[in-house]
Amino acid sequence: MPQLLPPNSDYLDATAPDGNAKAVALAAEGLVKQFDSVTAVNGVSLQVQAGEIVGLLGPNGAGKTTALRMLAGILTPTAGRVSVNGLDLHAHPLATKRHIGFLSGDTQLYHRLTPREVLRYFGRLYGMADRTLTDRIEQLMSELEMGSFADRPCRTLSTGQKQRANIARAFLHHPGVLMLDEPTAALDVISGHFISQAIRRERASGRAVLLSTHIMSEAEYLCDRIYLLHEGCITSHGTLAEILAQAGCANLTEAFLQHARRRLEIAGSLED
Amino acid sequence: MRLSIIWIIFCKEITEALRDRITLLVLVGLPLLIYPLGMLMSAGVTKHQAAVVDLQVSTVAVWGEGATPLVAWLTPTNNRLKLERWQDIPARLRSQLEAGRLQLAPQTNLPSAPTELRLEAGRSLSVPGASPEDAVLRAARAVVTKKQADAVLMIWPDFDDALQQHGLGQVSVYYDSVIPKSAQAWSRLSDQLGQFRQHLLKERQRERALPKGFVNALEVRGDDVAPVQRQFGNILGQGLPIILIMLSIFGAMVAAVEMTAGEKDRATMQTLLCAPVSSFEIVAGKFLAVWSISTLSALANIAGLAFMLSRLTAMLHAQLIQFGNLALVCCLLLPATWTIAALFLAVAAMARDAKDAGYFLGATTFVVMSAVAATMLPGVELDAWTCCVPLVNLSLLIRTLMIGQAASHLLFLTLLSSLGYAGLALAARVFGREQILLGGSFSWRSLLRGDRQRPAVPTPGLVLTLFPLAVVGLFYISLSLEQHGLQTKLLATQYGVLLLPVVALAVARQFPLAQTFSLHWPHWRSLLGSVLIGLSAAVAVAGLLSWLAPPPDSTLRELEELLQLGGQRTPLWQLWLVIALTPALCEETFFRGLMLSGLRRWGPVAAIGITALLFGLLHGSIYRFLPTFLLGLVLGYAVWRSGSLYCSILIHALSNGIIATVVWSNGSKHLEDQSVPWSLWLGALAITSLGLALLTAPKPPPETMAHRA
Repeated sequence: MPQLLPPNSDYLDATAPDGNAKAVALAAEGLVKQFDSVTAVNGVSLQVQAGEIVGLLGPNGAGKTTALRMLAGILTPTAGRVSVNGLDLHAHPLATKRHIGFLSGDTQLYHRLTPREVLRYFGRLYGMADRTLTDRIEQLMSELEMGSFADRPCRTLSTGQKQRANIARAFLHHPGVLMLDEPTAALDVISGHFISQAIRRERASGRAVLLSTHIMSEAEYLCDRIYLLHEGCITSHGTLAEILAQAGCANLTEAFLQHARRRLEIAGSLED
Repeated sequence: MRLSIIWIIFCKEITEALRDRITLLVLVGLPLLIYPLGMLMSAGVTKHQAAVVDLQVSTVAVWGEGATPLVAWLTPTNNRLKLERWQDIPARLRSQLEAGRLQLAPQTNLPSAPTELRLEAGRSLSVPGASPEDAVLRAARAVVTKKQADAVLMIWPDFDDALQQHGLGQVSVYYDSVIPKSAQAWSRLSDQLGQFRQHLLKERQRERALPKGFVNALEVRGDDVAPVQRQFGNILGQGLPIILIMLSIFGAMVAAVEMTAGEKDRATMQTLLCAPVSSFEIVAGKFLAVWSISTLSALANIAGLAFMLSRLTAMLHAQLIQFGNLALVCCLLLPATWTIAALFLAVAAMARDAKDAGYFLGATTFVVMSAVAATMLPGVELDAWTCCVPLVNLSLLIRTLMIGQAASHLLFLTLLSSLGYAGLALAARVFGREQILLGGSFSWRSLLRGDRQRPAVPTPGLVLTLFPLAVVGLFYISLSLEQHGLQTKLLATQYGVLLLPVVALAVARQFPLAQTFSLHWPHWRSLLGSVLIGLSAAVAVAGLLSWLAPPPDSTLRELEELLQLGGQRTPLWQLWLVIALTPALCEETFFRGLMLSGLRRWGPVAAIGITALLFGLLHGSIYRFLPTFLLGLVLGYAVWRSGSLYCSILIHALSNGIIATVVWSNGSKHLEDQSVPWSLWLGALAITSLGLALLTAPKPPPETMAHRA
């Protein structure tokens, strides 16, 4: 019988897969977001360490996007706090945001600018020096194979090309923490794989990656640890093996479905 | 707030906007094309219309017997009139006419003015529409409405007899002013009938051998003394503001929708929000871009207009307009587009998507244009009241400029209030809300009620919203209390507009009062420093002023009157109470209390500078701006450094009191006759500097220090 984890229980004792404690790059504590009468996120706490990819899994409407937006400093939480590389996001929003690279699947680019111009614009907003910026853009363009469309207006790009430009934008300023909200949602297999490889490279270079997704195979392939999010609460967390063992299932999809059912049962019994 | 970031955002927005073909078309193409094209087309249409109308023959049904000389006069003199005897007359009416049984009914609703209002020949036969409903009118109306004839000329019975006996011959013309051909027929007929009357008068005069002028008796000529330029300026001044404001609205509309709702549609706004930029910087950058585009669009309009006018000037060989005035109008466009850009950006930001934004801005345009159109109503002129109504004031000012009269104090107030309203529209209170920047559901209730999580201290948005409200409040309250005397006015505005609302707001929003208003007991050194500054700052500033920018005598007289509470011999204690203590308490609570702590997060330079700037602007006179601004800097620094509002209250009360005492003890001597000697000025400057140096933080300052850190 797998034990159902209460929310906010043990986010502090998270360890990297190899068992060594690493530096905590992103930590959230008791995040709550209330929109008028709806509570979208209800007490989410999590940690991501440098050099690991952590998955935030949940069905549509579980609160993944809201949680990520709070972590990235786009939304102000109703309660709770976020710290990135030891900096408190609420107290020092601008300084903290320099350490965050944020990307969501539905984000588009400025239609009338070229990818190069978009990168230059954001680089300047992040306060990068002109020379450094030019070099960094060249480096990203070759890494992400953007040469063929770097100087075309963004509205003419394909979905995959746009997402590569978006990835470059998120990686541009060497952020310590990457927050990726369903980055491959709209992509075909090849483009999705390309992006996945890029994310793994970032992990190898020591970035902390928080990846929200509802694609289970992607989570299995990429994530070192996983948080399951349901109706705004974290229902389970651990490495892939741990979650599978807890649930007694063969794959993540089954484990996920089982958690969702269990939540519904609990809710039903509470109502009785 | 970092100017470099605002500049980066501004540049990007402008680049994007200028790559948009629609924006470019609206911005440059339309205005450069529309004026010359409009001129050509309207000239062409008018010419064509005139030609067509001129060639048309007016058919006139002539009802009634006799009147051969009249019909003979009408037929050959103008072959554009085709007269048809008895055309389409009902049989019963004709038989009645032939029997001579019909009479011209007396006009029942006679206007009080005489019938012959106009002195030129023609067009003076009757005031139309005053005849009672009767069978003839109904029959004539049927004929004209069915377009069987363009007009009906009714010759009443006994016409010939009356003329032969030198009596009064009676005719009526029935026409329909709404049908162009009928109106044309009336115009032709009335011209000819007028000439026939003149002909008859001359005949009678000659037959009786009467002296020349016997019949007409009075010759009147009216000459318009307004030069062509002013007449044209008046016409242009009526229409120009509407055209200019409308076209700058177009420019602003496209840009504002694109930069707010458009960004939400494409979800690019959240990317921008997770970059290390504050929402104020985003809004400022976007606002500057919308403002520039709207201004560019308006300038392109003026260029098109100037080109058209220069062509017209060459064609008509007359100087229609002073092009210098047009340049002034260009300058006035800056505040106009400033206000429009702020308003449109604020409205567009509330929309969920571009479609919504279109609806919202359409409604806004309607409201703005109605207000601007109202300035064309007679009697609406630029005065103390209208110069505080946004956009209406600018459009009135443009008109005033085109006629060639403008009052500088109204100009100042107009510009000041425009600035204020823009601030109001753009207040970060609107933009501070994440729903607005991110899109999604937006509720007015949340905007009005405030966040669930209220900030513990006032925000820049809040205090910058308060300022224009205070300006408007001050202005209207002091205008409505005009007859109650200076003292009542002063007390009402100070306590009613500055002190009470601010304290009420702080209590209602549950701001920590001691921290918000810096109500901490100062260090003794700060107290001493404040006394020194209070005693010397007024003299130091006055000396600087008389050397830098001496105010005109009239301003000094006004100030003197204010300082004496209207010129009566007021006791000195009362002066100190009303002139020194009251403003010190109220203005300091407003500016160095709430406003300074609201702006605190922008750092000392911006907070003290902006507070002083607004403090200077509130004094509502261009000559009082500099001294009050300088004093505001000193007061702001004092509170910042000492952490105590008591210091600035002390300084403010002492400086005001000292000036009032000087004026009081002067008796009959006036301020303008006095100057500050060098030695005194330098002394005062030294004492002020010493006082500033003495200011120091209070001993145990936990909140202030923590906040400052």
